[in-house]
Amino acid sequence: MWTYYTKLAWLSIKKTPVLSVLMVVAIATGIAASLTTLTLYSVMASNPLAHKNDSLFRLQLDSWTTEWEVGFPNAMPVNITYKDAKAIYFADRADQTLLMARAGLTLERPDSDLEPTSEPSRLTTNSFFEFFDVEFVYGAPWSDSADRNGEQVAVISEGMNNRYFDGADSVGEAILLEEEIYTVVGVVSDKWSMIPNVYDFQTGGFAGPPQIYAPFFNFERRSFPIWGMIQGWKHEDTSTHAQYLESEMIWVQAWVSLIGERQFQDFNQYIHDYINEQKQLGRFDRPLKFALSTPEKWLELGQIVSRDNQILVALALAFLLVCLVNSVVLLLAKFLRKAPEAGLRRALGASRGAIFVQHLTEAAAIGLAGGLLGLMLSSLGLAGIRSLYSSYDAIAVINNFTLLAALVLALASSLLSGLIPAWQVSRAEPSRYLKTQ
Amino acid sequence: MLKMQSVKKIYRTDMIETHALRDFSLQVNQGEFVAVTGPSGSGKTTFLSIAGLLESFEGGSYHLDGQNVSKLNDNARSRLRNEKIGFIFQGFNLIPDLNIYDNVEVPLRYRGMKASARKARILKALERVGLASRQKHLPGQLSGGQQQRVAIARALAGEPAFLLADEPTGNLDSLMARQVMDMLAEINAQGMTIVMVTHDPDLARRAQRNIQIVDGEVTDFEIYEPRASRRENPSPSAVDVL
Repeated sequence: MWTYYTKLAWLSIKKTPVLSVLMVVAIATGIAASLTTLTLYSVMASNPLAHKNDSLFRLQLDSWTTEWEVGFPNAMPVNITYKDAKAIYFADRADQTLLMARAGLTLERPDSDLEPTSEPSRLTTNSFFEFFDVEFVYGAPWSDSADRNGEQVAVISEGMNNRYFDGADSVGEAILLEEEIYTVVGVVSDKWSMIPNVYDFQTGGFAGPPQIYAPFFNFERRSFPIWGMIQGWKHEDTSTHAQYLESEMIWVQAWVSLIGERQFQDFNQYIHDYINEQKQLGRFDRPLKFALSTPEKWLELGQIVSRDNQILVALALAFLLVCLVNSVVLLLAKFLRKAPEAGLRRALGASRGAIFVQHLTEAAAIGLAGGLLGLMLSSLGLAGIRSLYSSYDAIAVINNFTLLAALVLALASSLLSGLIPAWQVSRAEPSRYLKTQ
Repeated sequence: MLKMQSVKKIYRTDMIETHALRDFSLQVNQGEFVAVTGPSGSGKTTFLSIAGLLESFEGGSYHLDGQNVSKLNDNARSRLRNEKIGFIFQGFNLIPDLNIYDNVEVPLRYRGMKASARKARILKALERVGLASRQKHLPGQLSGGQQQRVAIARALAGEPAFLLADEPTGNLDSLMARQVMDMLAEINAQGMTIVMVTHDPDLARRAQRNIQIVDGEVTDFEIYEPRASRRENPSPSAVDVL
């Protein structure tokens, strides 16, 4: 019977093209608005590190001054000082410790005519690649000893590898970073990215991945242009690099992996003791406070999904509801005009259920057409967002969630909008209409 | 075939109760052609609706083809309507968007028949009313008489137990009306039971039996002499108004 109902639906839709188009457009507009906002929201609100929620922690230490508050939801500096970072790293009390800073490094290839470019980079310890599930095309992360010794090795992105090495395996090749020679040890796949950018949302929660990675402790030798967040509260002389590293300037991002409750407790105790020790040295003026935040908690603190986004989704869904109400009214008008035919079909042996399903099929067809058109409009909407905000390039795209949501919204919309009209027409008393047909 | 005993039907509004049928009893036997007449508002249409299982009733009983149908639920009544009753309406009641073939197909669709069986039945019924060549036409492309013949084909395609005709010539000119009545008489001669509601005494006289309803009750009946054509296939002779 489904083919029969589909045929009847098509005939009915053809018979009232303007009304049908109005309904499709009404549903499509509501679905497009909902899909566009839901797509953005779903990506923004996702936690790509959910599987590491019990082992990965962002470390914050409250080394801020007592004189004024720091502007972050948990009232602590986002990052830590270099000297604290270094002390914690070399204490080796966590399973792994990740220290990093966002920098802008100038990359060029020796003996190449290609112009040097300044690229978003990351000076980091090698745990970065494991913590954030980085995929390699060639090579691998550098060694622990390279980390500890601040060796001049580097990992570059596939894009940089394509640009400077024509896509060939560049492991072992030399590159110039800030006019110093580094050896390439790995190439990161361009397919790898983290949205939202859990490891560093202060400089753009949806920014693309770094193009160059080098060992963090290269900072021991020299300075690099920091492109990340730097917070400071103390008036102190930082004119030399050594002074800067020893200062209270807060710019190092720190993550630790802690396996099991015992290691978690031990590390907490270690940090507790460390801060007390620093207090005796005249630092950490405020009451003892530190935080170990899971990726989920960290995203929450970072307010990646602002309240505005949530309100926007609610508004879009409310708009869809209004569109559905419109569609219900239009369908009701259309189906009631067809009540005499429904009465005739009932007289000829159709059950109420058959009439109900026949009309629901028509509503579903209109809903699916609305869903399809809504998907296309949503695609245009997302393209508009991408053209307005380049930082949304990676998230304002049709993804599996969008497709699934389009299907669910279209079906739910058509069923919801068709339910009452189809029910109403299925109650048509045949004897009432047979004389008047 | 059709046996109603003491059937009552009351239409109620907030203010008024209308007794459409009062203690209504009637029996129609297999192969009969019965005309039901009466003035407007007498209860003819109510009788037709109840006989066609389109409406329920309050009191009494109704047996259709030997089955008590008084207390059936809506689904069972729909199924019985589909299998046992062929309707012919005054206004033809064809679906304007469907071609002739698809119109005749409607009752068969709800019977869940296979496509090949449906096709055979539809073509046979359309040939019987002389419209097989018009199967792709829309109702609007046919004359009133042809449309009524399509409606008859639709009624016959389901091979029902009996036909219920409501003023089948009411919308036709005299020539077409005669053609349709000839066709009904021919169908009856082949053994089909027909109950026809009409207010036209001339049409009623073409039936074998004439039942008159006034104020929801059978007030009179008359048995006409069988016509020459019927003498070869004599209809049942029982006195059937209870």
